[in-house]
Amino acid sequence: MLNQIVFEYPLAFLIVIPFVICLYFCKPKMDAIFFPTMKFLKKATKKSMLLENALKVLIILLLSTALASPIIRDEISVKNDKGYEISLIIDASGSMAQNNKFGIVKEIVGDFLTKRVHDKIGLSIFGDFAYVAVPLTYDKNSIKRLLNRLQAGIAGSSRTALYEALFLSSNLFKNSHAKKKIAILLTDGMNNVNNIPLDVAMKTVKKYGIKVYTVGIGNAGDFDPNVLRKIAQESGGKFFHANSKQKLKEIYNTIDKLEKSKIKANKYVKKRYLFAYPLGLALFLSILLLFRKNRELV
Amino acid sequence: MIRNRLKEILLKVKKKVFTGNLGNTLSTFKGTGLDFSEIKDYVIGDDVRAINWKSTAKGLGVKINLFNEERELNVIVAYLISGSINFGVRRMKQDAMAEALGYISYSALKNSDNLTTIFFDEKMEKLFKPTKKLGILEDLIGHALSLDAVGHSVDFESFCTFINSSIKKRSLIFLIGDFYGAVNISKISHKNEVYALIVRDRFEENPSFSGDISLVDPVSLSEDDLSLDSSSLKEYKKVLQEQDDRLFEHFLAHKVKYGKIYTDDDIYMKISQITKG
Repeated sequence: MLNQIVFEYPLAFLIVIPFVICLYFCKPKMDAIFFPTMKFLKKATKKSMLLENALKVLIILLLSTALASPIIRDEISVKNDKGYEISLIIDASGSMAQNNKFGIVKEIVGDFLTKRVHDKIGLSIFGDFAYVAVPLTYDKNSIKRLLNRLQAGIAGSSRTALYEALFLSSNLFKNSHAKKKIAILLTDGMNNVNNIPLDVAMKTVKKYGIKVYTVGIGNAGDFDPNVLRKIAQESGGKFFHANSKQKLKEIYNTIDKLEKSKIKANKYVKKRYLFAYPLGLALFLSILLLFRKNRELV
Repeated sequence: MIRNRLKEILLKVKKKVFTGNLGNTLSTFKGTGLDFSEIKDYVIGDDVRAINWKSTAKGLGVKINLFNEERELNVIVAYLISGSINFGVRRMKQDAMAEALGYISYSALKNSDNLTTIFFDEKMEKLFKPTKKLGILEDLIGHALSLDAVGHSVDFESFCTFINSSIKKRSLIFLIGDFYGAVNISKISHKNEVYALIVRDRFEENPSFSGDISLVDPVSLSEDDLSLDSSSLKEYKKVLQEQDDRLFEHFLAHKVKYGKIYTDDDIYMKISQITKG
């Protein structure tokens, strides 16, 4: 606990040096008088002067400690403004329930999440309609927790709102500053909800500069490879086709390798400020010093 | 300013010494002289020329007169200059020391003793050669009043060396100073009769400063800010007491008569008390 205390502005400690120098070399100018037994008086006051100066130095030390802003790093999460932001778009339509496709997808996506430690990841689901399950976040645990709760058909089981999902998840990047924005669109069907046309969805994708990897699972007839390929090509991504668990795993591995995040993550630190303690102590000691001075006058 | 003060002190000195009991510093040797001392019974061997016939005629046996021996004394007055004499609340120590110097010098001159006056700091500052002339009194007090003591301190070691090398005759030595620091006069005390007049101000022994104060050491001229409270003043008095105890012990060990004279004391009275022992 204690060794986690770090200072935000350690340079503030330098204040102590000029103070100590000044304590001995630039004293306040007072009217001075000759005193014959100065030598003895100095000897007699040595102890109390030492105490007073120590008190002064301690106060300044505490104040500079407060200024240096000691913090406790409570929790370190990962931030990567300039890194990747990945939006996972997963088909949860009724057909995904067949052959435990959805279970396999969940497993593989879960693995993928674990690998992308330094990236922001969002999750969108679509079926009859599309919705954003988790917006872009570093919090992998909550994505995983949510992913486990998902079932095929959670967003309606009869239709596939593919374009809507693409449009919605593209909008996730609205306030994003990331250099690389990636969407991985996974589906086993064709779009059959016509509330958002492909053009509109693609416009949004291009507007935010999102690279879309498309993954079609199942047999060639289940999904529309042309549309998926078109989406991928126009956005600069790639189209994959998987008909086995092994293949799907490879695809995600490939994407993982293609979009390897090279940048070391910036650390995002949740801080607890502790400056109040030295500051409070310094104030207390100042009052003590004042009290001491006051007593001297009696 | 100094001129007026000089006149005041001169007047005071002359008045006090003139009206006061003269001859306190005279030798107590009995012998032939003019200074009548007492009448005592005749014992065999006494000088028959000294028989007091009037007293003898009264019928109580043969009486003779006794006289104080007329002996020329060698009186040395040393005015010890250290920076610390430049202090005083109502009256400067330097001024009080000048007055003390005046009493002793005038008494000695009135007695027609040989008076040598030495002003001494680290070295011999000024020497007034042995004299019996009364006129020197004004010069002595004038010099004592006008000298600048700040920055000086008394080197007792070289003072003793100086006295031993220049004064050969057994003398009566009066030291006037405030006797701070390392005092060692053992080298002159065995041969001469030494009196130490310790001139102090009451405030320096019992300062009622409080709080922060900036003080200058009059010897080293270093300035320091001190923060004083009652406990440190108590400590100060203890330190000062220790220094004085050491000083008195030294005086007693070497048979030096000493006494403290405060600036607000009647200096003539104090000197009489000290010299009478």
